[in-house]
Amino acid sequence: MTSTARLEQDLTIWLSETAMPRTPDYADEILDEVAHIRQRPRWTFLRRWLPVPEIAWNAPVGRRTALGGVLLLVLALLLAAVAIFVGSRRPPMPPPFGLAANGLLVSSHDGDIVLVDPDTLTARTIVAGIYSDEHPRWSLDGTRLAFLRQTGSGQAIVIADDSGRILAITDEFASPDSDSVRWSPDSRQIAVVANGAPGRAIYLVDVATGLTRKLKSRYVDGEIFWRPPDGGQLLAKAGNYGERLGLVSTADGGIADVPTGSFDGHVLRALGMTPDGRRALFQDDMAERPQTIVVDVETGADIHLDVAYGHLSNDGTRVAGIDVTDDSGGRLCIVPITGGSCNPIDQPVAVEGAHGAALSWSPDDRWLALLGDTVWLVDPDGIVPPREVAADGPGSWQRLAP
Amino acid sequence: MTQRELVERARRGDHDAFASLLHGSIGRLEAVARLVLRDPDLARDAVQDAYIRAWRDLPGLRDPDRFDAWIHRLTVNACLDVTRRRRRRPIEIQLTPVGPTAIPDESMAVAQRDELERGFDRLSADQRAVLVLHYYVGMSMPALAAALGIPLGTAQSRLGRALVALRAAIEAQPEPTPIRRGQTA
Repeated sequence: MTSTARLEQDLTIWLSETAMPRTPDYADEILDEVAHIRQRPRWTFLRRWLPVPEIAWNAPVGRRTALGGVLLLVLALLLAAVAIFVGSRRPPMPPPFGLAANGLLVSSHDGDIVLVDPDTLTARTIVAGIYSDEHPRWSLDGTRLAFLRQTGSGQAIVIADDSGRILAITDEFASPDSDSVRWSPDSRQIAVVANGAPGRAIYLVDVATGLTRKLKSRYVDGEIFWRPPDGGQLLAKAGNYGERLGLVSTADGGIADVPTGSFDGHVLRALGMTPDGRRALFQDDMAERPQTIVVDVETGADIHLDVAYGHLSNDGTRVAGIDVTDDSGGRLCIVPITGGSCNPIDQPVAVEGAHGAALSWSPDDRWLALLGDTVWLVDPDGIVPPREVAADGPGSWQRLAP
Repeated sequence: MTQRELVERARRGDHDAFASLLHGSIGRLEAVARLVLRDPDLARDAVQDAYIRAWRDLPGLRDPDRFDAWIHRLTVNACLDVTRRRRRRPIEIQLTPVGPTAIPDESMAVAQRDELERGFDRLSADQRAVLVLHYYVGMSMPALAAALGIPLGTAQSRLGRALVALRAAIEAQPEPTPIRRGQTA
């Protein structure tokens, strides 16, 4: 890394640490003062009549001349042309749910954040330093990263761009669930489950500022999933100890029960939602060989799949997980979401199924990333041999426009 | 309600909408002002000026989607105004830390942070503003140029000069004098 790049990285980190955005205690004073100030009538603004750039330097109106107006008009037209040119070159965004093209794989290695090209398997470190960083996760638009950073007694969520430049750091969370860190569909918020008061709670992080908001819900825990398509609710286990499955409103924390039929009273685990947002996946953690249950959140109609800790493919048609019919207890398999037999996967490494990030589908569903001592890329159809990635932490795939 | 809807309502004089906009942005803008001015009291003055001006001039904001860039511009303007006013007053020594102390780690990292902080303090408010908008707020160069109301090339050269000045300010700091045996600190 060049010394300039190092200086830029150090400066970014120092600014983020020093700033620590917080709502100042004089915010209400400003609002009180504003309550007594009248707004300027719209017609008094020069830019209403002339094409002045929206956020130009403030200059006294008296100095503006007709020539100045013409120059500003030319400048505005040039800026508009540049804006149209730049805007037209902006790459299209991927949809937040469903199939997308594969980008880079982000993972962690010895407490640093690394990007891996899944084609060449070359890795480069984008966040390094004295901190221990882990569990990175791409935003659903593929432009930013969130990862957990070990701080004093807890962990903070760090938000960075795709070059590792840190954009914001949250306050510290107590015992955050690393599997619960999830970006909202519009990539403007991140949900995380951590210790609250009392019990566990969902916190929503504003990505732009790093400020957090705690949802006023009763007990919620474990992995959480934004409900497609708009993310107005989060699927989570709820109740008094996790005996219910709930859709938690991101507006007010209100919980709508998901019908779980014969599993009422058991300890449930949320596993995901279908891309249309109509069905939830969960399992009974009290069962010796827990099946993955796919349930319609409106009607309660369900399908039982012979796979534990199921991970739904992006197209919503297949579920990968631990084969419950295998006595060894560690064989991976894939089953259609409509049911049927679970087809074993050629797995190069043992996977701990209970770890939510131990298994993940690539955005185009052509690969599965398995986490053992290192990360392995496995072809779910068994055609291409497995490939090992130089990373030792859970991986997350960058989504690109298809 | 989206930010665009809030801006449109506030532009028509809705105080509640303006309060929502303020609460959604003041944390970040206060941090920007503290970083640019390196003084919490002056930052408070600048943020208050910026929001009062924002309320007064909101009807003139044609594109509600530009609110973020616009309010950043107002804040930076207010910071520079405060700096200009301060030049006419005696310099006051600021002893209060600007932000929470960094998490203690290895001593070398702490020393590096101190060097960086002292170097940053030696920059002009203009230079600090461009660094803060790019490296803290995360503005791209076109957004930075738009927020400062300057051409893209000027923004790039201003950022480059600020980095050079920061490096020079860090390198100009004297090496700490080692304490010899028998000498008290």
